[in-house]
Amino acid sequence: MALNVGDKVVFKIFRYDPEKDKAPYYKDYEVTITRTGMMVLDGLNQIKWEQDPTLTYRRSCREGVCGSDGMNINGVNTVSCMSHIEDYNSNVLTIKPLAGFPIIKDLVCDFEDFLNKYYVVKPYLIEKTPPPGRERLQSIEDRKKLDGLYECILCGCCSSSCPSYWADPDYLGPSAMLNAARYVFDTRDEGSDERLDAVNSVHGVWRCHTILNCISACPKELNPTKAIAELQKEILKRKY
Amino acid sequence: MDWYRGRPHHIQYKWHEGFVAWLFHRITGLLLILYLFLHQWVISTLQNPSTFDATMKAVENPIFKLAEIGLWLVASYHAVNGLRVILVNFAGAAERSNYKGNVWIFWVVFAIVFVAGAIPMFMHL
Ligand code: SF4
Ligand code: SF4
Ligand code: FES
Repeated sequence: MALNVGDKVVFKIFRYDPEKDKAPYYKDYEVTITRTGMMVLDGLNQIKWEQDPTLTYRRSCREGVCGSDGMNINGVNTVSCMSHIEDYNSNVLTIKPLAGFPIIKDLVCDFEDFLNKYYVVKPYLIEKTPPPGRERLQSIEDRKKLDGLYECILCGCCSSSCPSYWADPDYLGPSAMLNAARYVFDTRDEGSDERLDAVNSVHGVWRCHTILNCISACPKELNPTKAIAELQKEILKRKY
Repeated sequence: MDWYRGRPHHIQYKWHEGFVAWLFHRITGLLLILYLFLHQWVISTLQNPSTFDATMKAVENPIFKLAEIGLWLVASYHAVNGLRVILVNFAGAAERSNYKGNVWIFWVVFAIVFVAGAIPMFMHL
C-alpha cells in the first residue's frame, strides 16, 4: 500500500502509567504522512511533539544502532526506527511494549533482567595467555566467523518474541545466547569453557524449542536460532 | 512496574510457520503421552483369556480403528516435525533464507507420510 503525503495512519498505542492507571488501555492517534519513507519512530515523534507530550517511549540513535526502541508493531517485534510505516500495508498500526518484559511506562520496558542474562554469558574478551606482541591479530577468515553475531544491538526484540522466554523466567533467551556465540566463536577469546558452562542448562541452550520467532523478529537480520544450535553442537563436542 | 511478564494481554504475537509447527509439536507430544498411559492401561487388562477376548473384541470395533488412524496422524506429525527440529539443530535448516519454507516442505512430507500410512488402515476398517 503506497502512502502519499497528506495521508493519515492511525497509531493505536498501548498506554500504561502505573502511578495513575489501574490497567493498561489503548489510545488512538492520527499520524499525518508528511514525506515519503516515514518510519514508525517518525510517527511516534510526531505524536509526542505535536499532539501528546505524555506519550512515553525510548529512542536515541533513530538509525538502528542503539537498540533503544524495540517494540511490538502489528504483532511483530522490531525497532521502530527501522520500520517503514508503509511496509505494514495497513491504515492502523497497533503498537505495544515488548512482551515478556516488565513495563515501566507506556512503551518503555525494564531491561534489567534482560541485561543481567546478557552478563551471565560474560560478553567480553577473556584472556588466559599474554597477548603475542602488541595486540591479538585475527585473520580475515576468522573474523568472518563473527559475521551475523557481532551486529547485535541488544534491542530485546528476539528474547521478547520467544515463547520459551515468556514461559521460563530464568531462560537466558536468544539474545544472551547469540552474544555467547559471538565470543565462543571468536578465535582470540579463551573463555569458551566458562561460557559453555553458563549456557549448558535447561535454562540455557536446551530450552530453545526452535520456534523461530526470534529469527522473524530480529531487526538486524541476525539468526539467534542458528547461534543456539551452534552452541549446542559445541557443547556436544566437548570432552569431559 | 507491576505489569510483569506473562500477562495475557501483553503476550500476543503474530503467528508464523515455525510458531504453528511448534504448537502442533507440543499438542501431539502431550497426546502421545496420554496415549501411552491408555495403552498401558489396556494392556494391564489382559490378565486372563476371558478379559483378553473381551478387550480384543472391543478394539476390533471400527471406532477404535478410526482412533488408530488419529493416533497415526499424531505420531507421524510428531516424528516428521521432530526430524525437522533435528535438522534445524544439526543441518542448518533454519537459515534466514529458508526457515519458513522449510516448515512448508516438512508439512508436505508429513502429509505424504500420513496419507501413505493411512490408506492401508482405511482399507482394513
Ligand atoms: S528459536 Fe529458540 S530462542 Fe528463538 S524464539 Fe524459538 S525457542 Fe526462542
Ligand atoms: S539478536 Fe537481533 S533482535 Fe536480538 S537483541 Fe540482538 S539485534 Fe535485537
Ligand atoms: S532509536 Fe536507536 S535503534 Fe532505534
